[in-house]
Amino acid sequence: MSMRRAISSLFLLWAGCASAQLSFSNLLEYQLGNLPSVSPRDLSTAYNQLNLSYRFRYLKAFAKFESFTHPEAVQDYYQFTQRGVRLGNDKVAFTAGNFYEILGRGLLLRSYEIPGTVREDIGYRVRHGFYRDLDGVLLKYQSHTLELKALRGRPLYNSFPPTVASEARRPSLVEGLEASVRVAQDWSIGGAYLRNEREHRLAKYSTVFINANLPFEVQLYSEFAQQLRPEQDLFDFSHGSSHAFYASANYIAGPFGFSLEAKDYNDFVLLFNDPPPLIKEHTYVVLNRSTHVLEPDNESGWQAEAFLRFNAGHVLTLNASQAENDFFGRRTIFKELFAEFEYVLDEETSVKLFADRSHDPFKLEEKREAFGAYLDKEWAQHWGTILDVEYQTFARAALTHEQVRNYAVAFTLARAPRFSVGVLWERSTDPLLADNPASDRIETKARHWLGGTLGYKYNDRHFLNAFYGKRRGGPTCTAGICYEVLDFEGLEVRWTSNF
Amino acid sequence: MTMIISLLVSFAFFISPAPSKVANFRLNDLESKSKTYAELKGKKVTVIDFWATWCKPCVRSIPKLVKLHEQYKDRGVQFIGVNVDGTRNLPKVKPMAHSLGIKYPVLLDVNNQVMTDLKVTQIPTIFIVNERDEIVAFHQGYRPGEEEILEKEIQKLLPQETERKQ
Repeated sequence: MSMRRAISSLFLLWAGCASAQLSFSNLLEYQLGNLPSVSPRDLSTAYNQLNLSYRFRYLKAFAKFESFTHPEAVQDYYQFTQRGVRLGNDKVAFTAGNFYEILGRGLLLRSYEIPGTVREDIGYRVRHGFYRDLDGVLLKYQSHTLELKALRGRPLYNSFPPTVASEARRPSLVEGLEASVRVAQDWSIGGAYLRNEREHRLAKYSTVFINANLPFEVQLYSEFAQQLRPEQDLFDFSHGSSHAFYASANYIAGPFGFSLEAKDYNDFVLLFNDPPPLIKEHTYVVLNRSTHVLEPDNESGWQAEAFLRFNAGHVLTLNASQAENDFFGRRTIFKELFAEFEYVLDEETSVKLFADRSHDPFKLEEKREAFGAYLDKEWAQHWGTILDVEYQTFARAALTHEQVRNYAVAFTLARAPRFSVGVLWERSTDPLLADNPASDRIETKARHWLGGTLGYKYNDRHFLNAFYGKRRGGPTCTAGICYEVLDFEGLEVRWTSNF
Repeated sequence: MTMIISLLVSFAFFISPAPSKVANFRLNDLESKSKTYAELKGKKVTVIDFWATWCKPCVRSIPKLVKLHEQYKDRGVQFIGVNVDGTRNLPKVKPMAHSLGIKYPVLLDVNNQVMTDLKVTQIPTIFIVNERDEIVAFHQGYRPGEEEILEKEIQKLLPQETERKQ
């Protein structure tokens, strides 16, 4: 059946069912500009993502249509990148088509979507939605005491854009089963089995996990996943085994909250899993960019975080983390200490101060230190302002004897609920960024990025966001997922609609 | 072509639509107990707040929501926090919710399942839902002062004080 006929049938169904609900959401992102030092120049491109869903009683049909227009037509695409039906209620549900699912805490399998995020890779220069789904079937049962999942599908390898053949984007087939049972009021245990077939090679995996709510507001979770192969024993933590171990505990007492996590991952890059990285996900610009990206091929470590809330509303947050990698006998240790104090001056004014110290030999960044302040002030008539000032310095001894310095200053003026305008300035003396690879010379002058943003809410259904200027790229983490954002200079307009 | 498609679709949206409905969903709460929307929703109004520990505007808005919850909890208004942190920050959610003073239920949408179903593209997103599960207002992002607008929207769905006394 052609796609056109399928859509017509969907609309007819909608028209015929008075209690049915058809909804859309649309995201249009238009860019006019350049990636610095990269040709072709002055590109005018547009990306659009339309999400459709139709719900009638226990049935839901859905589709995602993505398109991208580029001056070089070979990079254009117009595709239904997701479609499917879901039949069921809050207890039992069957899905055929594209779906998102997780086994345990994602050591074996986790699919996700980062809504509103558009991804572009410098190699392809094609923008597409940021999601990693499975295409297949899912059967799920959930109750207060039991949860069962059975799935079969092809996970998306989302580094490839939709212009790449679907066989390359979904190279493997996974089949999995998971069961978790509440064995007592505050205890549950579970396990999962998963097999992955890729290019006629079969790999089998299992995981077991336990979750407990203990007295004195203590919560525990622990999971061990491993590849099932004859030469590997059960619960084998040795350097040669393919395994992933994760454990967490948290505790609250009055105004105090604490969490502690540990990890030991080895040879566990499955391309469809997402083990917790145990690295602080920062909201500050210079710290978010400096994040340590997890290497499930070989990484162990821990993370601890504490919160303390004072009566007046002030909050103190402390975080410490460590990650050890060992590749080909070279051992590197990432360490980070972070402290933030939010001081509430009055009902309308608060200030956050932070300090961070880290050591990241993996990125050749040593003695990295950062400080900053975030001032938030509410004014009369729903006006508000935010001032964010950040500074970071580190040694990159392999390239320069001078300390590298990064600065970020942002100011936002907003009037609820409709309007906001902001400006962001960044400066860096990092030799990796100062040099223009397109020129013969080696530039050493500091680089600047200055950009302005505008946000406007037309009504509950339409939102407009615009950016003009230069935007600094680099690693970024959103919703726990880290990826690379490209530098950009020019105009970007984004219009989101819901209906 | 992409522009034309999106403009057509977007202009079509200006037609005033019927309100969207929240379909019942099931998620685990902070105690890892399975809860449904139907079990938790308010008698008159339900306010659903999508938030995450790493989201600055979310963390700024929560103390305001906590105050509104205290103010309206005895008038048939229920607040539900839906945390969308995923697995990376899961152990921090309960301590942080506690440090932010959240007294209303918080559900964990680890898989972004409910977020995707309700087409949430930015956080925080706050839905105001009436007793028939219809979404009557929603707010994307948080700007200082937005809580006053939220309060007015909640009040519109509640019987007036005089009606209540009668």
